[in-house]
Amino acid sequence: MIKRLILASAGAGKSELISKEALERAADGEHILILTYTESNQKELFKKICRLNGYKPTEIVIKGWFTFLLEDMIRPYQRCIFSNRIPGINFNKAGDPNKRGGRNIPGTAEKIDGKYNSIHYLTKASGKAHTSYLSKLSYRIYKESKKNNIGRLSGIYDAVFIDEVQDLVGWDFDIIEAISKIDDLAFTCVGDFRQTVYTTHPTTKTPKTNTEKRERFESIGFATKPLNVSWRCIQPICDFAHLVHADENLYPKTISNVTQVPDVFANHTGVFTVSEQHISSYIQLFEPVILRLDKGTRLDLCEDQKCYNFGVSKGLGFERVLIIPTENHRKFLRGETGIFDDAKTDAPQNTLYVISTRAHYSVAFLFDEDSAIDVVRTWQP
Amino acid sequence: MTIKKLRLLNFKKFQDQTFEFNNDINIVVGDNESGKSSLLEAIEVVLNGCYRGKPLRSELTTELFNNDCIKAYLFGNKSQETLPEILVEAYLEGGPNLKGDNNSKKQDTEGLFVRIFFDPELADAYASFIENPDSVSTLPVEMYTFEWFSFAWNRVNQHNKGINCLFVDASRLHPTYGRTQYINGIISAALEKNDRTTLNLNYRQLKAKFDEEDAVVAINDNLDTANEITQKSLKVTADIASTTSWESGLQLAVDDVSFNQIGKGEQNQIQIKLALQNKAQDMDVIMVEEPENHLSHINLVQLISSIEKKNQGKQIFLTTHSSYVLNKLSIDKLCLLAGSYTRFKELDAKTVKTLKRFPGHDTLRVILAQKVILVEGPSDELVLKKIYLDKYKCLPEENGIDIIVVRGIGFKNYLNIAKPIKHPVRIVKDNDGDYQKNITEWLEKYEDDTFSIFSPEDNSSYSLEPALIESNSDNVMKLDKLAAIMLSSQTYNKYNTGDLQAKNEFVKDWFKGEKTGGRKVDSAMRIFENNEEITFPDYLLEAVNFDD
Repeated sequence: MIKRLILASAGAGKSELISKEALERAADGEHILILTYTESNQKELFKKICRLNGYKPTEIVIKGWFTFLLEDMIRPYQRCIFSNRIPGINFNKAGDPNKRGGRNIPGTAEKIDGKYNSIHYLTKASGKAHTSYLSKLSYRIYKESKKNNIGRLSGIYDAVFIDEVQDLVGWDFDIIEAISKIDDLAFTCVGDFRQTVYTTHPTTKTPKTNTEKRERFESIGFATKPLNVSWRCIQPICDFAHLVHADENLYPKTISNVTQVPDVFANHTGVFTVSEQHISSYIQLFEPVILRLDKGTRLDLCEDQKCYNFGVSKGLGFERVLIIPTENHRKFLRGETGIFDDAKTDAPQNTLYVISTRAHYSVAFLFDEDSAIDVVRTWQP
Repeated sequence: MTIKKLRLLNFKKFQDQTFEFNNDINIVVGDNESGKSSLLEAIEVVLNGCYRGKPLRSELTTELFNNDCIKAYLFGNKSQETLPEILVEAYLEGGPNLKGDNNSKKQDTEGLFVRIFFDPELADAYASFIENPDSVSTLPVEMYTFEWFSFAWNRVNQHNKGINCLFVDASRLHPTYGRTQYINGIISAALEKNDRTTLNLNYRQLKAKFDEEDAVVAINDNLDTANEITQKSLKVTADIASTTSWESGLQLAVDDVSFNQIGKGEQNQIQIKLALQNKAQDMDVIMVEEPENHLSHINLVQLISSIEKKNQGKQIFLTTHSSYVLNKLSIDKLCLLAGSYTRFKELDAKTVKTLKRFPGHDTLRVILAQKVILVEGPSDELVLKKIYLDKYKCLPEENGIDIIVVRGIGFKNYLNIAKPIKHPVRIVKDNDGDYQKNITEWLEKYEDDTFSIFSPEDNSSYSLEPALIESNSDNVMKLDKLAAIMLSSQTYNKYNTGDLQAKNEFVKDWFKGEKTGGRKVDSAMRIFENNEEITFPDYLLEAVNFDD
């Protein structure tokens, strides 16, 4: 069956695409599983389906990635590794539970004397599964149970979608590969690697980076298809955001599908720099939503304004946005578009892409200089 | 979805037993107290999380536990790990998300299980309970809890289990069983899903209207005019809490008579037919206890034919004591509970068909009796009973020996039915004047069967009456005595001429030929009631000899 990787750009209507196809399939009596990492996206997909169809047909199941791993990949055949029922998951907020200060905690090895060590995977007190090792355990059960968990899955569903697939890393991809081996399953992964801001778990296992993930999809046999439109941002904003990853030469330019700008916003559209001198009048005039690094950033400006930290702005959309840039962002505005090339992770680069693609009509940076980037204009009152 | 298999551990009658089922109809048969109802109750426990229609949570009592496991616990050291557990496992087909290998047979298959076990959180309470182990006289079920999982080891609830069963049991119409809830469950199952909502909505609107009726408003205005009872407004209103639905306020009426007031037979039929109707198609399993209850034969015939027609796509379990129900619905669907569990699915197709056509035969007697003697006619039955009574001073049925007249469908069909149960079967058969052909050669067809045949080898004793006559023909006196019993006084006068030979031939001829059935039965009756001593043929004496 076809395995598709859909590379969407921000605002491309991923949820809509998944929802529509899932509904069509459900109408044909197929059973569909939609997986996504975050709870907010599960809700988003649910809402989208309800908006399109009035209700969510029972044939469509939306599950969180961790819930899926526990309920479908682990528990049904977990006795090949652990004989006591795993009652739930333990969300590892603080990262890898088996590491302290970058070192492995003694006694947490995966196997001791050739036997699986429950401490590696489960909490000592209640036997809940560490989220950091959930996909690894799933893969072990896949192997130990002779693929029974994947066989079971193929008996339930005709189509599987993974949304926001960029959030998945390391062992998660071994599960993707296992699912991809089901013959009569339509398997679609949708994501935008430029928007990777968090991952399901910390890992040293590949794939970790966007490039590694895309290569892995290719080697599994996924056909890649771009979805390079934006229903959210006007063309100049798309053009600016495109520059963030332009050096990688992987993504086609995003085409804006926003054809009409409402009159109230038409007076100010595009990407701008605004100097300190004019900033308060700019805020007063356009009432942009302020995007900032964290809640300690520029309290003087942010007080009484609608503000979001960079990290939580993903998935959201606003008419106008004002970004309080970091040092890296300033360098980028000065024309150093390769600034992220040497970064240890993709995160800072992806963050800039995410915050640049929140606004429908205008993006402004608090920046005293004129930007070296063509599409960015300097705002004057 | 269908149940393929059920495993019960420590549940009521069953210490550890596995039952396999048919996908369509399962006719559960067994003696009283053999566990027929328990089997159906176990299915309700594991598919609905209910025991006799009530949530299992509130029904955890010692009644659920096997007596032997309770005894073993009470006679043991009573340490925590000796507390018995109940396991009810349903192996299913048609629910892929219930699949996994978390079952006692470690099979990778679909299924659900309920486990009733001591709640380890209550170990402290248990410690004080067994402080003086000798004073412990009962299982501490109050400290028990239960879990309900799929074989995927995910928790199941009423909404995600994907399989439903409906238990039609007339005794639940009794008020103590929560009659309203029970009958409404059945009505609800019979309706379309949308119909349920519409009923509920209209019922709530009706109740709201009640409060707005002028007369009701007037009564309420006068209730506490001076606010002497409370400073707030006091009213009599219809109970329209959203939790109370039509189910508690509406009921079924038959010809404008409340369902609870109509005849029991009618109640029984309507319940079963409603349950089978199941318009919403949301019932997978329908269980019926003794559909023959309170029904006349004609009504039973109608009911069974409607069960036959309306069962499509549903798995039916019914218990019965009626051979008619069993034969008509197909005897190969029989699930016999008699110590062990036996299914009849391999039964000879011809026999199944014959019994569907002639459902009046007492097949259940063959199946349930401990020892069976098959005979050709009612005279054989009576005479055998007489011999048994003389010998053992009681009737054979009192000792679990059932003498059955095979009538039209012949020995073959009865032997086929008896085959799966491996009961000792005795056959008393006439040689019809040719022992070689009718007995020896006849037997050759049944070489792998385990039954014993009793027939006179002497061809002149070609059936019961001649055999009786032959064994009393030593002298005239003896034959006269027999003839006096077997013949009416009028016939005896005709008989009472000539010598022994002539008399012998007269009696034999009297019972010979067609249309002598009435004579034979009359004479058998007289033999049965007679107190004179007569000599019975050896083959009959042996047929009822259970001395070992």
